[in-house]
Amino acid sequence: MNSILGIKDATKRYKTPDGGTITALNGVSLDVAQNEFVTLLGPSGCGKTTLLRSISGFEDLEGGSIEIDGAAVTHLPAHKRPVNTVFQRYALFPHLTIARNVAFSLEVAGTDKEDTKRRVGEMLELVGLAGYGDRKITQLSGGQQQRVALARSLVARPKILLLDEPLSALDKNLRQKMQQELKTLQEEVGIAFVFVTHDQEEALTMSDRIVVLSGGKIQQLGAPEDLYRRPENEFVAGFVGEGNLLDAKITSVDGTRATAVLNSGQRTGITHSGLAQNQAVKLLVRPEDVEVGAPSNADDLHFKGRVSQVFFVGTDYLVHVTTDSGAEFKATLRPSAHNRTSLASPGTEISLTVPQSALHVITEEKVV
Amino acid sequence: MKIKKLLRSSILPIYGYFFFAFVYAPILLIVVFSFNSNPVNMMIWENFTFDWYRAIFGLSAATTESALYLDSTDQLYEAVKNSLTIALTTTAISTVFGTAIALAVARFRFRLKPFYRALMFMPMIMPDILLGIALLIFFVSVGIQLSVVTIIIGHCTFLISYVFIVVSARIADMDDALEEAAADLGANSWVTFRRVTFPMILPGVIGGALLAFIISMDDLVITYFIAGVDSQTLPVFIFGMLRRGIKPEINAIATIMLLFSLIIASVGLYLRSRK
Repeated sequence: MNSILGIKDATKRYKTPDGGTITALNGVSLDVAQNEFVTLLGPSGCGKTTLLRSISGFEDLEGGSIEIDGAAVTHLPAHKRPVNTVFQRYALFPHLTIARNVAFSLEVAGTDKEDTKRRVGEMLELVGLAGYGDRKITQLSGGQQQRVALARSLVARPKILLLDEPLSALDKNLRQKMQQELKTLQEEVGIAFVFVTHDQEEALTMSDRIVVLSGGKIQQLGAPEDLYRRPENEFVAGFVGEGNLLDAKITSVDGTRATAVLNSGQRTGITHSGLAQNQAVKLLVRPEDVEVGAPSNADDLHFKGRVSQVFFVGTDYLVHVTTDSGAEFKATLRPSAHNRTSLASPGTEISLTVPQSALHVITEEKVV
Repeated sequence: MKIKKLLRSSILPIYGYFFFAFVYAPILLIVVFSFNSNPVNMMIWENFTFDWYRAIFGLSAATTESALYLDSTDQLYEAVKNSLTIALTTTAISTVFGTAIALAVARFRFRLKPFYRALMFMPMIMPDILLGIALLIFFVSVGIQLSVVTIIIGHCTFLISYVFIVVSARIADMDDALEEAAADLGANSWVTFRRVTFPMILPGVIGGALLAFIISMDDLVITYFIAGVDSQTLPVFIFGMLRRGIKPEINAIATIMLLFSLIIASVGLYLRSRK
C-alpha cells in the first residue's frame, strides 16, 4: 500500500475562554493510501475538523507529525502544501467569475495563460459546468457552486483533496446525487479524498475506509461494513447505524466460546476472545436482524413485548417494542409484497427472535 | 380597523411628504434664490439670472449695483484650492491608515483589542469644538505655525476613525473562509490581500474615502480653530462672508457645493450597488 498521507500521534489542545483546555486531537495516527476515499466521521466537537485543518495547514499541531507523499509538512504554512480543500460553505470568491475562481491556484502559481485556460476548461467540463465560465458565482445554485468549488480545488492537481462537510448545505435529494458524483469523481481523478462529515449514512455510502472520532481519539478505523457489523466499542455501535445494545454477563468461558446471561435471564452462547468470568458485556443486535415469531433454533434469543411506536421509513417499518422485562427494542420489519398492511400497530403483542449469529459482543465503552 | 386604514391611506403619506418637505425645502429654496436677480430681497422673485454665478467666477455682473462681498474672486479661489488640497490629502492619508487599522483589528489577535476598537470610535463622538480647541492648544504649545498642514493633521485625527468604521463594517461582512481558501489554493498573505481581501473590501474603502472627502470639505468648527490667516477653507470663507450679511452670491456658492456633493454621493452609491 502506497501511503500518500501519514499522520503520527497528532495532538492539539485549545484554550477555552474560561481558562480550561479542550483536547481536540489526542494522539491520532492515520495512513491514507494513494487513491483512497477516507471519511472522518464523528459528532461535532470530536476533532474531525481540527484533523482536517491540520492536514490543510490551518491548524498547527502541538505534537505529532504529518507527511504528505513522504515529505514532512507538519509546520509548513497552508499555501505551501500540495493539498486543496473544498470548504463547508464553498468559500468561492464572489468578485471573480467562475472561470477565474477555478483558475485561481494556477494564476497564483504563475501558470501560463494558454495552459490555465485549457485546464480550467477541462475542469469545468469534468464537473459538468462547461460553458459556465463567464457567469458570476451568485448566478449559480447550491449544487453548481459545489461543483465550482470542486473544480477549483482539483485544477492544480493536489495530492490529496480535503472536503469539509461539503454536502451539508444541500437538500437531501441533491446530497445523495452529489455523494455518488463525488465517489465517481474520486475514481476518475485517482487521488486520495479525505472527507469530513457527521452524517453516518454519507460516510457509509462513499468511503473506502471510515475513521470514527470522538473526544479527539480514533474510536475505530475500518471499512464501512466492518464499522457497521463489527463495531469495536459502544460509541461506534451507537453512532454508526441503529442498534439494540443488550446488557449481559459472562457466566462461563471456554477458549473463545462463552456463555452470557441477559437481564431477562436468557442464556446464549457467544464467540469472542479475551472474555473473563463475570465480565459485563453488551450484545449488539441490528434492527434488521430481528425476526418476528417464535425461534426455530433453541439457541436463539426470544423476546415478548408490546409495540410502542411504529415508524414507516419507506421500504421498512421501524418498530419500537417494550419487552416484558421492560427493555426497549428496535426492529426493522419489511412488509411482503403479498401483505402490505402494517405488520404491527402500537399496543399489539409481538414476539421477536434474535438469531444467535446476529449477536455482536462489545466489551469497551469507548476509547478515551 | 377603520382608523388603521385611514392612517395608512392618508395620514402616513401626508406625514411622509411633510417630512421630505421639511428636509429639502430649505435646500431647494437656496437653489431657487441663486437664480433670482433681486439683489436686495431674495425672498421676492424678480428675474431669472446667472449673475451671481458670474460674480463668483469673477465675470462682470452687468445688471446690479450689488456691492460684491468678494473683495476679489481670488480669495474665493484660494479657499476652494485650500479645501481641495486639504480634502484630497486628508482622504488619501486617512483611507490608508483607517483601512490598515481596520484590517489589523479584524485579523490579528492582541491584548486589549476591545479597548483599541473603542479608542477608534472616540474621535467620532468627541464634540467638534473640543477637538478644535484641543488641536489648537496642541499646535500652539508645540510651536507649529497654523497652516494648511495643521488643518490636514487635524482632519486626519478624526477622519481615520470614520474610514476605520466604514471599512470595519465591510470586513465584518466578509466570509473569513475566503482568505483561507486563497491560502489553501497557494496564495501567500500578500497575494491573498491583493487578489481577495482588497477587492472584497474595496467598496468599503471607497465609501470610507468619499465620506472622509466630504466631511473634510465640509468641516467648519475644527478647521476654524486650526486654520491660519492665509489658509482659509471654503466653509471658513463662507462663514466669514455670512457675518457681513446674507448676500445672493452665497446662494450660488451653496448651489455649486450641493451639486458637487450630489456627484460624489452618486458615485458612492453607484459603487456600492455594484458590490
